[in-house]
Amino acid sequence: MGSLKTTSLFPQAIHFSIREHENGSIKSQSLSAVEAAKSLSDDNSVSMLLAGSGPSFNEAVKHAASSHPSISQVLVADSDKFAYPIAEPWAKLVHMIQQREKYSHIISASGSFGKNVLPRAAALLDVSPITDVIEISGSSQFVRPIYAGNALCTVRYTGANPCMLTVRATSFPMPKSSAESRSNGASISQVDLSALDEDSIGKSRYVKHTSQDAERPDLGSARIVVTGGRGLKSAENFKMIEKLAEKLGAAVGATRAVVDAGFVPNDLQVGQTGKIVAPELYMAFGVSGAIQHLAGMRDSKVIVAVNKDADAPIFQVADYGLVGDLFEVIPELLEKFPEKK
Amino acid sequence: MKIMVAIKRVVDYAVKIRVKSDRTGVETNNVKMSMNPFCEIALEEALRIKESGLASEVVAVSMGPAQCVDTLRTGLAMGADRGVHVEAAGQLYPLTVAKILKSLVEVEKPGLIILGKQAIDDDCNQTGQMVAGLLSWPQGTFASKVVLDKEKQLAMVEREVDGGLETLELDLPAVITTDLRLNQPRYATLPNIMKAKSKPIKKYTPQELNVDVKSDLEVIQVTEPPKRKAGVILSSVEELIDKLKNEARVI
Repeated sequence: MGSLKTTSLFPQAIHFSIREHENGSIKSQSLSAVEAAKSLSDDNSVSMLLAGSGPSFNEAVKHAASSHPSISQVLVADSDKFAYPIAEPWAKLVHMIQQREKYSHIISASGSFGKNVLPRAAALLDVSPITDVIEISGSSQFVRPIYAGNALCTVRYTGANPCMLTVRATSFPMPKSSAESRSNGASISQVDLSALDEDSIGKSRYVKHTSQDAERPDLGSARIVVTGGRGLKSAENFKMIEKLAEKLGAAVGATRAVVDAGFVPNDLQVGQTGKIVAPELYMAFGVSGAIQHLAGMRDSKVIVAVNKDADAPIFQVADYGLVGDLFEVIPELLEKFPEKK
Repeated sequence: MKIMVAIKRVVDYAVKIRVKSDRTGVETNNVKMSMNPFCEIALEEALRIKESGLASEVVAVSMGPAQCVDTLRTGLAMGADRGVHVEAAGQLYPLTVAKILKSLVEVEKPGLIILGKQAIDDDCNQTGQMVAGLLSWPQGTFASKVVLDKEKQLAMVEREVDGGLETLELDLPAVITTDLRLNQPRYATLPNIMKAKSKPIKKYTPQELNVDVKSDLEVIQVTEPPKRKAGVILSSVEELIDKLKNEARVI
């Protein structure tokens, strides 16, 4: 096989978080897609696609070119059509670029953007995409979790190029060394959009985005996550979790029960249908440990569980368990935890 | 307007699955099967749209082995008007399912397709996006709120995205996939279960719909995830802090 050409699709940073919009930088989850691409290609031939418009978009393009040593080229689609992260124009863009450039792989992080766009683009290209890859064991062989992470499936892609993947960001962390070495600067080339087929673009329009409070570290990439479950009993009590998270510099997570009860917004849900996290430390308070919740946190390095029910399934995955009343334990932790550095 | 809802028969969400010893897959013999929870939400939404007078008919469709008829009957008991079963043995991947749905759209001419955002067995989260792509229809994925405007032929869809909620306006016909928060599905009552027995289920084969079921994916093996090593139960907050600091070294 000749040298691989790989493109990583990037959610244009602007649209995904206010902070990134201000900084015009690339999301860390997106760089994990480059890490995954790197393992498919030894010759630094990863292309990154950025689409969007406006001043902070130009910032993001500059940042992209030096964000990872494996990126050799940044493809820039500068147009108002990509001002918002809508699937229809993005999928068309990917389709158009692939017809010209014939990449072997097209990769995106498994965020809500990648999951929305990549399968649509794959259908346009008539290939089967592979969701949420956690391990790459060859250019066409991948491991992905199924059944809420209770089984791992190794699949081989046997179709024509491109092989399309979304990768789980927590499984492809960017090593500190490559973050430091940065890049000598990838080439930047503008994508010719004159041939962009407008057939299905414009059938959907962006109306608004309601963002949640982003004071705390991002749940998907936080080093510590403190999660509250049904045992907290009320939104008022849930504030104890937030206080503890603040003390630890941690992100706040929640179970489905807590989100359904309206204690916290749903983007804090950890689990099969919410966020997948793998922090260094995961602390679960009043969480029973349903299959669907474990799916979102079982790869955390150290798991701590505090629950008054000694038979709660969460204790089967916890490294450290404390059987007790969380209304006594959390205040004591707040008092005794060392101040964060 | 007609609404088409795709429903999938999967291992019940509460079952603790077992990986087969020959590593070819997950044991499904003698295991409780149910309608995929996200598909229930999709069907519920379609029924609510019909009940508010914005749709005339709800057609439930399912692809897979003969037992999918049971899942379709459940859907008919919830309130779907008709069922369509595309009978196919073996594993169907989302690309194939999307192609079958596209063919069914040509037959049924729905104004809206609603699907779950993902099946809880393969966890793919692809089919809705793929069928929208194949049809060149707009897509509203991970929907937590859907409001239809019949006059203007529009759907307002509030979507659950990373970091918050996003609202899109879609021209109909469109494809919508449902998130957990969209609604609370109803239970089928006994009289409705009885009534569902006489509702029609039309059968097709993929060949009749001109869809080739061969796939560009091959499962090499299915294994159990690595087990976590057993943890310890501690007796006090001091001990916990000490372990986190000196043993695990995470704080």
